[in-house]
Amino acid sequence: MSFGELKGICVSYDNKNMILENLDLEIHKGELLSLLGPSGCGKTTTLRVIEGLMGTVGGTFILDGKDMTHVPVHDRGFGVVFQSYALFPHLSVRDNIAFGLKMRKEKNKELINEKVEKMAALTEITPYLDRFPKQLSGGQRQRVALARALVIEPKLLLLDEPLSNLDAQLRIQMRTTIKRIQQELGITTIFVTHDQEECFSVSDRVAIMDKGKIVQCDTPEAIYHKPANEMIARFVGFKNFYSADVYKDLGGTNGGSTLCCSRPSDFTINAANGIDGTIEVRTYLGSSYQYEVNTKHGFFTVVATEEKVYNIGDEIKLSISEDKTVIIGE
Amino acid sequence: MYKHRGLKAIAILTLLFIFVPLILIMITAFNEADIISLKFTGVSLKWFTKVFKSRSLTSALKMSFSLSLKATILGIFIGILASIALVKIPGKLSNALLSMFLSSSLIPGIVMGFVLFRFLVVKLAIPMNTSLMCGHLLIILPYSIRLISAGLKECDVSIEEAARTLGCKPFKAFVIVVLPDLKGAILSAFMMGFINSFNNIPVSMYLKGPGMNTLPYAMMNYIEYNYDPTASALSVMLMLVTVAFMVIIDLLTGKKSDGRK
Repeated sequence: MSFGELKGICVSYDNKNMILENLDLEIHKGELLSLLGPSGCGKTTTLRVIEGLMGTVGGTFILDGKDMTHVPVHDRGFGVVFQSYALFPHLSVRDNIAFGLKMRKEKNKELINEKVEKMAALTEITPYLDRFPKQLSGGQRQRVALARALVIEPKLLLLDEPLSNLDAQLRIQMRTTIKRIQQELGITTIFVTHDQEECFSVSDRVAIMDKGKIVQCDTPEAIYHKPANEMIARFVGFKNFYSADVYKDLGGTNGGSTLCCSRPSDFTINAANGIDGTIEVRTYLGSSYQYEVNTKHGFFTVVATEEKVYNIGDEIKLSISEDKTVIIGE
Repeated sequence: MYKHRGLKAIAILTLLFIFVPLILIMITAFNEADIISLKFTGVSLKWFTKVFKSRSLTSALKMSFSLSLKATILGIFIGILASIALVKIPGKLSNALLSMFLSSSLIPGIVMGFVLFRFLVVKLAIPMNTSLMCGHLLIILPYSIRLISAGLKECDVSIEEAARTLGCKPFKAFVIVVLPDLKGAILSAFMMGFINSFNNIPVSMYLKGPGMNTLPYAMMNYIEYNYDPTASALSVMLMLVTVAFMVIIDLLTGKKSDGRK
């Protein structure tokens, strides 16, 4: 039995168009689970269902053996970090963090202070405790929001696109911080994002969503090496898609009506057999070159190291080994 | 940037146009002379004491103050509720409703007063006091709804949700998290509403009962039959109250509360 489970969740505004349709998701204890997908795929809606801010028209949500489906938001006790951080502008950082403890009728001021300072130390915002949210930078606000969500010792930490408002450098730094804190506290975390790289770098498992459904849920490694469909394959960097017949010409054996795909760097150039092609475009990627190769089966995108550089117009042979090709059953 | 001499002159003329009459009123209020006159014969505070001796003026002052205060508080309360509905349920209907709520500010006061008199007092036989309150509510509501709904639109919706995830019930979340954020909007709505209600003559004229007078109406009456500067003294006091009002609001909404420096 898993730690948490969404079962057959349906969400709809008008009972006709489903935003989420029969969504199933398992949550394991202590993991960082990401919901990944393009905007409008329903990942934020799924998170809001878990938070309790969005009502469902069907399905159940069970956490730690308890049915949470109809528990109101304020009794769920989950830590939530909003995309806009949603800090209370009229309260100091200290009072923002203490808010959840005070709402829990915690009267012991020393205990509140102690917990707030411990959380501030963990998120590295101790120097800013007496400032107001407007006096903080984006990254600092993010840390305050994280501290405020964590201080109530939630069973689940829910992060809605927490890094999307930060600049590129800060984003990488913050995702490491989030991962470090998550591991230190061992807290089960659900992370919503549309950024594949960001998602794969921190997640234990990734649920890829499309049109209100989860299309693949697995470890980042498994998804990277064995995407379940063409959309996911494109998402994780596969650029060449071809039929089983072409695959045979490239040196493969599998027949039938399957779709095969491979990454640009997985081809072998000028082996004994393969498909003949002409190089038409060459771009330099730093330590490797990317070629557009024109063959009788259309264009292939191929990346090769600097060891042997080919020129535009060169005739080459393209082949691929079987373990480098992913077969998608479509 | 705009260092043109003509512009500066226009600015100075405009300021003079606004402030010179106020200064003249102040001079007459402190003048000992028995009529409103700029011929200064000596400093005196007797007109100020006369304001408090005149029963018609003091009772009108009390009446106006209590009427405007009650109507404004009620108007703010309704304004908050209406704004929540308008902002949380966006769409064509709420846009149409917003325009409707604001439309009472476009109707000339004299027309509104007459219509309310015919409808509330004559047709429905609602007591004068209640009708007067309704009339003033209609003066205040456009300001209250306009300013508070604009303030609410600027609020980040997720702060209310954040409070709820931290253990706040919805109503409490609104009161302790969203309302403080709306403080500025509510205070400016209060000021605009109160001042407009307090100054209003046409609506009050129709709806005030026999023997009861609002302050602007009582002042008008007083000036009609008396030539002494009591009205000037009263005006000076009202100006001071207004200035105090603005200073207090500025302190309440000012730099400290939102942490900016």
